[in-house]
Amino acid sequence: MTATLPAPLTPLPELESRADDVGRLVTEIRRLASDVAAVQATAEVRSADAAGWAGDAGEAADHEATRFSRALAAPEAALFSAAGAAEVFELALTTLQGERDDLEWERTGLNQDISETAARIAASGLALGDVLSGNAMVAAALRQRVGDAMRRMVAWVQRVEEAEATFIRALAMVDTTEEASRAVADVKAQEAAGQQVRDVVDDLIAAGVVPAVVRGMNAARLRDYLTAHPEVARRIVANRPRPDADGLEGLLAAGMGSAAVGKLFASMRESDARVLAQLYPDEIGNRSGAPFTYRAEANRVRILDQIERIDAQDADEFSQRRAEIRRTYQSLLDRDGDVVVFDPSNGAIAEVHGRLDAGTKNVGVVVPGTFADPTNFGDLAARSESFARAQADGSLATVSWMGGEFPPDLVAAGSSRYADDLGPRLADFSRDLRQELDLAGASDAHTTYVGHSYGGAVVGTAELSGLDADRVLHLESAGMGKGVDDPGDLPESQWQVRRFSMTAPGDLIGSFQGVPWAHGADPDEFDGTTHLDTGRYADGSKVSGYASHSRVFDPGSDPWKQTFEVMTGGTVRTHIPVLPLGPGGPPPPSGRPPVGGELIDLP
Amino acid sequence: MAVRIEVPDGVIESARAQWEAASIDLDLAWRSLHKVSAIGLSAEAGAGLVAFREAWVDRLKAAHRRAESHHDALDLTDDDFTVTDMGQAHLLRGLLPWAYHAAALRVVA
Repeated sequence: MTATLPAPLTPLPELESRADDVGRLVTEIRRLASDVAAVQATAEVRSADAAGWAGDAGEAADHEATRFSRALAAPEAALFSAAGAAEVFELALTTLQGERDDLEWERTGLNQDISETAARIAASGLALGDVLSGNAMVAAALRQRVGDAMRRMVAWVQRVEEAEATFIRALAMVDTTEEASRAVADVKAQEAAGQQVRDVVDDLIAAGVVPAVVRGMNAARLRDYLTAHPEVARRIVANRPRPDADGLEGLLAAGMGSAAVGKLFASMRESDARVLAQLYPDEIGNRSGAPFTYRAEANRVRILDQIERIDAQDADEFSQRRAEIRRTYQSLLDRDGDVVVFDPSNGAIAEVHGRLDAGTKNVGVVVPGTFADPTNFGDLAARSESFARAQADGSLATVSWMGGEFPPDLVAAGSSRYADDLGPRLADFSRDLRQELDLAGASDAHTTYVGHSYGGAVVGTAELSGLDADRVLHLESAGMGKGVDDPGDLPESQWQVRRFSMTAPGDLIGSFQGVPWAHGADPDEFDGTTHLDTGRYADGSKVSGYASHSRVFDPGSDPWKQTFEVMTGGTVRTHIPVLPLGPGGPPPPSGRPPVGGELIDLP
Repeated sequence: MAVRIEVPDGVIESARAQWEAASIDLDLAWRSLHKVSAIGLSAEAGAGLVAFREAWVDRLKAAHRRAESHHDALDLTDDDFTVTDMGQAHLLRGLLPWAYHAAALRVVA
């Protein structure tokens, strides 16, 4: 057996375009656009103001002012469009720079590990391929890590190229009069919306919610500012929009439907919408219809606020639990994930792992079970993220969905009360997710809802509320959901959902599945459900017993692989029932017993 | 053939001033756009910016020239009226009694 250590990773290229310089461009071009807009507006007024100048000369003057005003609409639109494109580019560059820093940090650590491992092997005098030395396993693990890091580095380079291409394309789309003229209506609407956001900033400054220094900040700068000044984030979250206010503030105070919310954000430039999301985070963070990007931007401010609140409490009151929650919140900020649901009042958090974009083919939503709460959200996130990371081309995104209060103990887990509350919330979220995929140009993406333990009952109850899913996986599930005893109990919207179940032998949950008063039918015996095999762990031992309840998420184990295959529409292995041994039963198989059944390819 | 000019007092001067302001603002605009720099951008992004910039510099320059030509035309017209009025005033003064032949002529707005 031969084994090799991976070669050290080479540094990522520096970003050639710099966010600061692009920010300068935004300011310059927007100022120019405003100057041209002022000339255009004056000419427009003049054409309407030719009263008093009668006859042919007056008419000619009127017509020329109108023509001139219209002619200036095209450069005005082109310049505002260019400023908007540059602003989006600036935001992308800021994000990419942060990602580069993280990747470089990871690369440096990896290279150090490679070099230390090489030195250790040299000192031991044992060959790298010597199985007994364990070096081969270390080398394999390093190669795996290097492979993962390289994939992320390649993806980063692609994102840089995409950001540049988007910027160049946006400029080219308005570089002729005809193109710019077509864009006039949209640009004017976007500019009006941008002005409304600037008005919101002015109003908040006047009200003392944010300091004057915030005026003119773009979304990236505002984000940095609030991170450095959480006390301002706290004032922002405490501030409520006034229902009687004009403009965006009044709109946000009113209970808009998801379609109206979607329309509002569609009329805005991304940069303006991101600023608005940060200024009214409570109104946007969980709002159906708001694109996930803006919900995440809003929730970042709400998390800053929560951390600030915890830090402001007396040390005496600073409980262990609060410290753990603070750690969870801090880790959400540190990994800069997209938190698309956040509600500290009931512990709700949902985080997206990976990217929802035109390249997304599958999304897996993982719903946890009993004991899930903000103190252990990191465990759920690690589990969900492991699936997204495993798909090298980035076409699988996952969501850690903990959308409210879960049973805190096993006694409470017997009650369907929590599922009754969480199910409809999950169904609502599934529709938000579908809208997000449509917006991202990934309408054909398949969604899988994985309900683990009590989460299975939540997913089942969500199906009663019309969960928008292509696939459902009951993983060590408590049941199909209260009231779901056979397929006829499910609404017509769910008839096309493909269902799977997986329960390890010896998991105690098996004793509670199908108990009539609890969480509906046993998923493993539910008509139309494909019962999957749990197989073995990566070390070859069988997945069974009490510990298997949580260890089905061990990366590399068969149940983990099966879950991944369900999420990605791959190949799964069905369960075969364990037949009784002894008289009437089959003879015990020789060697390693069979642990799986038929392999089936999912559509 | 009778010619009737229906321009109230001050209108030509006001229009001239407005076209002049537009001409100056647009002159400044195209020059500022021309100076927008691609420094800090990658070669590809910079090339995209330059292509955009040059396309609109030319059009803003054309708009500036258009406003400038209107301003010049109105300036000329305003002068023509002044000269015409001055000529008429000279003729009128010639019809006045001798003592008033040297009366001063003043241009009023």
